[in-house]
Amino acid sequence: MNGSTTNTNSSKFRSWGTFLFVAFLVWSFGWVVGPYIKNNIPIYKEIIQIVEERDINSAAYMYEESVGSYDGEYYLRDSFIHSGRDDYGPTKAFFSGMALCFVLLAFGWRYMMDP
Amino acid sequence: MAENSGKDIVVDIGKWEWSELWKKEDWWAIWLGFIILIAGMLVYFPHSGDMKTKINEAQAKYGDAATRTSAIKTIAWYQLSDAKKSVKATGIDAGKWMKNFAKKPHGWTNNPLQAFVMDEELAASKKASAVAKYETKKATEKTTFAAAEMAEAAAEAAGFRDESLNAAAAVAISEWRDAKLFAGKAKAKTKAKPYNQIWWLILLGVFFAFFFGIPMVFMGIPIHKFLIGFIFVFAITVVAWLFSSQATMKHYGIGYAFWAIFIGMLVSNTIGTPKWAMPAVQTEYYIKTGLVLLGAKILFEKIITIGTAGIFVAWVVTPTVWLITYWFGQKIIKMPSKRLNAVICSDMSVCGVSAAIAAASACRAKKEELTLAVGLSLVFTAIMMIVMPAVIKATFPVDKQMILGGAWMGGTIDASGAVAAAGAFLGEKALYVAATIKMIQNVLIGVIAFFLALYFTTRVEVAETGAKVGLSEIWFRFPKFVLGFIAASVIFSLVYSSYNAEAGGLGRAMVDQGAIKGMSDLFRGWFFSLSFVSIGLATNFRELRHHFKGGKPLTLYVFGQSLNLVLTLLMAYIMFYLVFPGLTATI
Repeated sequence: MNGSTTNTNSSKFRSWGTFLFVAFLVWSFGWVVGPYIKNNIPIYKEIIQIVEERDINSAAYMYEESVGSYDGEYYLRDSFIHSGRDDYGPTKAFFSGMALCFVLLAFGWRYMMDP
Repeated sequence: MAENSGKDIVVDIGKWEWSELWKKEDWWAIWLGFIILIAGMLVYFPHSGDMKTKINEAQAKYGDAATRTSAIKTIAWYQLSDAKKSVKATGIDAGKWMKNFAKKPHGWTNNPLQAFVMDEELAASKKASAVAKYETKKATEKTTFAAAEMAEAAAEAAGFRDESLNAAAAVAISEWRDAKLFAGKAKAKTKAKPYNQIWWLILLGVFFAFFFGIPMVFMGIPIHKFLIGFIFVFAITVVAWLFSSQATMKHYGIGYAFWAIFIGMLVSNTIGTPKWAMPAVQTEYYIKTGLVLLGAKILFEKIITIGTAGIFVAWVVTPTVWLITYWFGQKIIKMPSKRLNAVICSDMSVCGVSAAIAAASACRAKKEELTLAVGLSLVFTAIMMIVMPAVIKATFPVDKQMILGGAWMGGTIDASGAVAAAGAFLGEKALYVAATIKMIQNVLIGVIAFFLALYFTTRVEVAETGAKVGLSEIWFRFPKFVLGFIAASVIFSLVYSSYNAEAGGLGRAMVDQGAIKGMSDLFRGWFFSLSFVSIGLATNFRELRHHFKGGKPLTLYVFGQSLNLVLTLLMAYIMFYLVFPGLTATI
């Protein structure tokens, strides 16, 4: 009974010890190692400065979370319209690009993907 | 629905029952997703008249001046663009309330409490410091604007026919734009206000608990058990957001997905996930609801934005890389799991974490497989975000850095945020091209998810069970949430296009900056983080470890990403500079 209690206590101690140690590693990355690396790699430093100045969320996963996407979409769309060119928009070449995507997937389904 | 065939093989025979509509999480994901989307439409769409009036006013004010020449983008062209962009349905009172309600923890550097609370004194000191910076930026903006006006006037005096004057005006206007952008960002920081996010988070937690809890009753889990467990899951989710909003973590692009899985796994593999929390550890339920919301932002009209050259980069290279990498995984390195192979191919070739989530759900991958794919994507994203702009700056000809470099990064770096950061390092045009290519790849998630759901349902699962299946069996096995995902995409694409047909930019104001950003996006991030926390809480590290054996996932990712880098660069060069150089010149 006593042995079992000692084992349980030691296992609990080890679990909490591992938990706290990993928490310490995270802290040391966030406050010591991480800032040291970003301050000592010039290109990293430069990128971070731009990210902060432009308020870019560099951890974003989807386009709407990043400021550049909406602005970029607007800029490009208006640039093409402004140019007055007729090879922008839903042209034959544009649709052929889209169609090619589906042709490739169909080809892959048939010849490259075994069940 | 399992039947013993009599040969010691359990064959899964599906049979459709109408009760699935309220008993299965796939259907509940659709119902819950659409409740949020419909709420978004009801809140924002009645204001379309006001938004249209504002857009028309902007058009009337700057329209003529903006279109007086196509030789350069004039100051008025940018002013019209800015005025239209500022029209957002989320600006209404309900939109502001929703933003506070579903807000994630604020950014912080050293004191984690600042993620939740900021007192008046600290807000005042932040404001004072921001005002001083803003004054400097504002002065620069004023000077550059005056220079841009002079240069434009000189070009106009020559009828916009003198190329050197046009070029000088374009440079001066571009400098003004940069200064204006920085002044705008600095101005936003002068609006620092005291806040207390704690009460909002409690309110949000209670809302989510009942939002997900009530359907659980129909699915056979007592609501009180779910509610108790949800407190634990939600608390870890808030901690994950807290870590991801820390300045250093943000800079490294270590977002909520990593922290949610990491903290969940840390708890489950050290002190253990409490048994009472398990009823709320519902990975599939949260993830599928989030995916239905994700469908609403897959707007097909957006793919026109990048033009013909871009569609080849985003929509031809991506499936090519996907298929070759999948084939490589199956035939050459012989990946033991087709599902892991498909999820890694999707996150590497399409768009990282969000594609991995959609692919994993569509092919019913194991939670460890999704964890592994997400982990690989996050590591390579952090590396590529730094290395690619450096390589482009050092090796590309100056005149091709913006468009070619932007397209290359947009087509290859997995996560949108990292694409934006790397693009901004090269310049504004690179940022726009990179972010737009990535956005169009995001649209491809829907196609890939549907393709995978069909492939795994009709071919892989049939081969695995050895049973020939009919249409009803296919329907039974098909992941239904994919239908909700596609329905949301089609409905919102149609609404977006019809608003744009009414007035240019109205689709953006009402859909992008209304029902999506002001409603579904607010919740989608939370739902995905709840699912990642659930993955972590239910994952045993030993289960994950055996996937690493032989380093096959890493080999697969490296092979696929290398192919992606080569093909994207090649296609971008051919399309932007050899096939459509005229169109490229207008960007």
